[in-house]
Amino acid sequence: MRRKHWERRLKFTREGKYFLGITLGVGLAAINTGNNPLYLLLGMMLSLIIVSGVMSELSLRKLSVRRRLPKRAQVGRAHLVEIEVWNDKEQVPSYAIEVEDLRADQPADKRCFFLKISPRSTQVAAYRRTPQRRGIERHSGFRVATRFPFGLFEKSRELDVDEELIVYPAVDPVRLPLRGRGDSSGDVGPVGRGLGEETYAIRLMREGDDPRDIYWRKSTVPGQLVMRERAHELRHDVHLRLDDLRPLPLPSSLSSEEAFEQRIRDVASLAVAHIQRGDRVTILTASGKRIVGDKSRGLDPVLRFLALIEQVEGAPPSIEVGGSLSVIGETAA
Amino acid sequence: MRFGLVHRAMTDALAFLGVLSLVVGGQFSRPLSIFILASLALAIGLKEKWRQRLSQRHVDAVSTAILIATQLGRAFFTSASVLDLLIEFAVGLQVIRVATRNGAAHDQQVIVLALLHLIAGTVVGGGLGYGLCLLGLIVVTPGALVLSHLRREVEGNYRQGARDRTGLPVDVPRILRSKRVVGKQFIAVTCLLALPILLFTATLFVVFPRVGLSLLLLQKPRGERMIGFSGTVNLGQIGTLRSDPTIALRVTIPNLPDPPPARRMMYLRGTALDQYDGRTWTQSSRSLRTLASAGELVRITGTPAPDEAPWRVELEPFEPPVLFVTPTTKAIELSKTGNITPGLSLQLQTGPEGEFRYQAPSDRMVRYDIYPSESGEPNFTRLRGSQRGRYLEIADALPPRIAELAAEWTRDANTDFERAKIIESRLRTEFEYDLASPSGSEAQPLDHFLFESKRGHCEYFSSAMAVMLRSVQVPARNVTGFVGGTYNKYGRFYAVRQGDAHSWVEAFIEGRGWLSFDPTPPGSAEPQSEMDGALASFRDFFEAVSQRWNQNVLGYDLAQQVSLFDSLDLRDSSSLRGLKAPRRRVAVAALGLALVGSGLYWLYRRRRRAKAGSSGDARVTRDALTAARLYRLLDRAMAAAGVRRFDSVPPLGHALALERRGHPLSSEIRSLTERYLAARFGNVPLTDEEQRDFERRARWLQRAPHGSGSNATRADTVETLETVEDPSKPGRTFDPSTRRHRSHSSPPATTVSSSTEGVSSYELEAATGATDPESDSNERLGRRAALETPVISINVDLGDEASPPPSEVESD
Repeated sequence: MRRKHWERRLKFTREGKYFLGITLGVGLAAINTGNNPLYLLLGMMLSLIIVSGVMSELSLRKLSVRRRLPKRAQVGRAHLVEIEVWNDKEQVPSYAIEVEDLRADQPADKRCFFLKISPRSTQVAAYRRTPQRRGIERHSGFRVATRFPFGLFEKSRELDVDEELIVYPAVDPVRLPLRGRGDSSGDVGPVGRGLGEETYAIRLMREGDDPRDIYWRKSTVPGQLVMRERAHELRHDVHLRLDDLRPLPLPSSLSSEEAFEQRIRDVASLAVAHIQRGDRVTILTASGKRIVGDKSRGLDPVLRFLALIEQVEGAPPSIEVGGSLSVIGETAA
Repeated sequence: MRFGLVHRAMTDALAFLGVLSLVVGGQFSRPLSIFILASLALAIGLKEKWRQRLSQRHVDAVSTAILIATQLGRAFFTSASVLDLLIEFAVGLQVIRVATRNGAAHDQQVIVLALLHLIAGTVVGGGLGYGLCLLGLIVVTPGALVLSHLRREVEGNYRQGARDRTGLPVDVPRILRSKRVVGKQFIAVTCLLALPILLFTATLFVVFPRVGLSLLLLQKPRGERMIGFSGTVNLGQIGTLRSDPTIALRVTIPNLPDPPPARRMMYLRGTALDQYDGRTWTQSSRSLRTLASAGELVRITGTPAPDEAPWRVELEPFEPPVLFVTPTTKAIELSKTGNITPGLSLQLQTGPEGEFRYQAPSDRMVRYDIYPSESGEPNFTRLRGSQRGRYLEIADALPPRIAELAAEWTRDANTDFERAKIIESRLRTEFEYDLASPSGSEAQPLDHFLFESKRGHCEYFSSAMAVMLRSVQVPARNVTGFVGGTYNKYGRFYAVRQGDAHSWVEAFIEGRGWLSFDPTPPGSAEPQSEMDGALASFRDFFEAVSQRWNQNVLGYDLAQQVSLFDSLDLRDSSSLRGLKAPRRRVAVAALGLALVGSGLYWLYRRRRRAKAGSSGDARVTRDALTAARLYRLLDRAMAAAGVRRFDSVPPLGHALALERRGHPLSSEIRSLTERYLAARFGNVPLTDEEQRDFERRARWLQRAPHGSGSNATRADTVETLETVEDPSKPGRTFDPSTRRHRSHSSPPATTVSSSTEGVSSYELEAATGATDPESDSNERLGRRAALETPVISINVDLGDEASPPPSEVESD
C-alpha cells in the first residue's frame, strides 16, 4: 500500500518529554494561581512546540531519497548501501535529517545522518551492512526523520522506494584436487592455437588480426606490431548435484533449512573454485533445475541461481547431505 | 561566524536573561544581586580551556555539594524562606554550570535552568523588568535551542572513527570551529523566529481562559512585598523613604486642565494613629469591619452623580493593605478583578481610625475609584463622647513643658480651630525641615525637637502638633499617607512615590468634624529624589510602559477577556462599525497596503527567479543531474563493451561515430545518448520508469557479448577521470580534481584509480554542477573513506550554497 505523502509520525524525545512536562506544570500553575506571567510563559512554551512542528515540517518537505545498491552482495561480506537525499526546496535548507533504509517494512539497524542539505542540492551518505541470509532482500522504502529544530520531538515520514538486492550465498575457500597431466600448466593442450588465456606463440601482425591481441611489450619497432597468439585450452566439465528437496523430519542437530543452506554454501564454494580454475560447472538440483557456468560467463549466473533457489516440497528424503561432485569429462574450450 | 562561538554566545545570553529576570524582580538584596551578576559574568567570561579544566577536576560536583549543604544549613538553622533558598540554589547552580560546562548536554542544562529561573521569576516578580527579560528570552531561545540541538546531533552522530566525504575523520571540534554551518542568515532566521513565537504567545495569552482555581497558591508572603508604608510611625525612620523614587500608587484624574500641572499636592490619607508612647505612634484598636465587596460603591459623605468621573487609583501591594483616599472623599469603589477564585474575593474594609483597607486573594495591584467631595466636606464628621478620651491621651513620659508651650502658643485663641491653626502656623514658621534631625537619637525626641534642635521631618512636626493639640484639649491624631504627585505625560496619570510619604494631623473641630492640618513647612515635603530633564522623561516613559504592562498583562483577567472578545465579535461587524470613521479608514488602508505589498513582493520574487533562469545562471535541474549519473553508467558500459568514449569526443559524436562504423551496439548507444541529452540539456524530465529502463539497458550493454574478454576486464578495473561540459558555463569543462573550470582547448587532467565495488560518501552540489560524471573523483575518494569507516559512513555538509573543496572544509 502506498503511503500518503502527508503522513507524518511524531514521537517525543526524552528532552521533549521533559519540556512537555514542564509546560504542563506551568499550565497547571497558571490556571491555579491566575498568575499572568505564568500564562505568558505557557504561551511561549506552547509556541515553541508549534514553531518546532512547523520548522520540522519545513525540514522534511520536498525531500526525496534514492538508494544505490551494490551490483552484488554476499552473505557474510560487508557491502555499502548508498543513500542519496535530494532537497528540492528553493530556499530552505534541511537540517539534521536521518534516513533509515527500510527492509521488508522493518527499520534498518543503521541510519544515515545529514547535518545540512542545502536547497536544490543533494547529499549522499552510505551505511555498511553485512547480509546474513541469501536470497532476495527487499528494500521497501525509507523513513526520513528529523528532530530539528529544538530536539523536542522526532517527526518522520516514510517514502516508498521499492528495490531488490540479490544476496549471493557465502563462499568458502576450497582446495580442489590436482588434475592429471597438463592440468597444472593451465590446461594448455599440446596442440595448436586457440582462444585460451595462455600465450601460444608470437608473430608479426597481419591484416585482419584483432588489435586487442597486440603484444605491446614486443612492439617496440615502429610499424612492426607484434601479435600474441593464444593457446588452445582444455576445460573440465564439472557437474555438481544439489539436493533441494525438503527432507522428512530427521533426528538431526541441524534443521532442514540450516542443512539446506549449508548445502548451498558448499555447492557455491565448489562452483566458484572450479569456475575460477577454468572449469565449466553445471549445477543440477534434485528437483530438475540446472545452471551452467564457466569463466566466460562469470560467477554471477551461478551465484544468482544459488541465491534464489528454494527447497521444494513433497519429495522423498535425500540421502546425500551437501553437494556432490563428479567430473564428467573434458571439453575443448 | 563559528558555530561553537555563536552557540556559546546564545546560551550565555539565555543564562544571563534567566538570572536577570530574578534580579529585576527584586528577589535578592542589592549586594547579593551584584554578587550573583558578577559571578555569572565571570563564569561567562571564562576561557574554554579553563572550563574544561574545572570540569575535569570535578569543580562542578564539589561546588554543587557545597551549595546544597549551605542551603540546607540555612533552611534548618535560619528563618529563611524555603522558596527563597530554592531560587538561590537554582541561580547558584546556573553559575556553576556555566563556569564548568563542557559539551552539548551541559548547554542543554543551562537552557533548562534558564527556563526554571523564568518560571521562578513569575512567582517573585512579574513586573516590566521581567517582561523585558521574557522578550529577550523569546528572541534568544530559538537560536540557543536550535544550536544546542544541532550540537547534540553532531556529538551523537559523529562518533569515533566516522569519516566525512573527504576521507578525513569527523571530529566535533572541527565542526564547532566551522563558519559554514551557521551563517548570518541562519542567525537572522532563528532570531526572526521570535516574531511568530511572540505572536503565538500573545494569542495564547489572550485566549487562554482566565479561571483561577487556586488549588495551591504558591505566592510569596505579603510581608515581603511591603514597599515602605507602615502601620506605625516611629520617629526618625521616615528619612529613608524620602529618597525612594519607587511608585507607590498612580492616580488618574479626569478633566485636567491643558496642560496639566506638573506637580499636584494631593493629600492621600492612608491610616491614622491614636496612641503615642513618647516615641512611637500606634493604633489602640485593630478591629476591622467589612464594608463591601469589589464592585460595590461605598458612600462616605455623599452619593456621586451618575455622570461623575472618579479618580482612578492603582495601588501597588502594600502592608498594611490600606487604600489611600483624599481627606474629602465622598464615595469609594473597589474595582472588580475578573479572575474567578473560589472562596476568595476582593473586599473593602474599614478600620478603627476611619482608614479603608482591602482584603485581596492575591498579591496584585489593586484598583479603586474615589469621588472627591466638591464642598470640601471631611470624611469623618462625628466623634462619640466615649471615644473622645483616647484622642486626648498624652503619654506620662512626655515632659510637661510641651503642654506649657502649647498653652503659651494658644493663649489668645478662642476656638479649637484657632488653636489648631496657631500651632500649625508656629510649627511651620519657627521650625526647620531636616531629614537628619538629631532628635531621633534622644530619649525624648519630641521634647528635643521642640526645645533643642528645632529641626525634624514631617513626623516630628505632626507628632508635635498632635501632642500639643491634645494638651490643649483638642482631640487629635497622627495621619500617615502621601502628599504630592508628579504628572506622567506618557501615561497621563499622577505618580505618587515612596518619597511622597508624609505625616500630618487630623483634629476634631466641633461642628466641622475631623479636619486636616499640616504643620510641616511648605515646600519641604517635596520628594528628595526628584529628577528632571531627559532622565525624568525616560523615567516617565518607563513608568508609563510599566503601567500598561501592569494593566494589560499582569492585570489581564476574565473581565478584560470577555470584554475583548465582545469587542471582537464580528458577526454583525459591530466592532468595525464601532470604530470611528478615520480609524476605520486607517485600518482598511493598512490592510490593503499589506495585501498589495505582499502581492508585489511575490511578483518581484517570481520575476527574479524567471530572470535568473533565463540568464543561464539557473542551477542544474534535478533531472539533469540524474541524467549525468545515468550517462556515467553508460560510459562505463561502453568502456566494458570495448567502445569506450574518450574525453575529447562528445557523447552524441561518439554515438554517431559508432553508427557510421556499423557497430552492432550503435543504435542502442545512440538511443540512450539522445535520451541523456534530452534530459541533460533539453529539460525533458526522466520518469522513474525511464531511469530504471536506462539503467537496465546500460547494464545489458556492459554484459553484451561484444564486450567480452580481456578488454572488458580492463575497462572495469581501470577508469579514467573524465571531464564534462559544465552546463552553467557553456564551452568550459569542470575539473573535479581541482574543482575549477577550464576551456576545452586545454588538455584534460587524468587520474587513474582502481574501481572497487561499494558506494561512496560524497556531496553533489547543484550550484556548481559538481554532480556531473566528473564527480567520480569525489566518489572514489569517498569510496576509500567509506570502506575504512567501521560502522557508518557519514556525510558532513559544511557548505552553504557553493560547497567548498575538501581542503577548505578542513582548514575551517
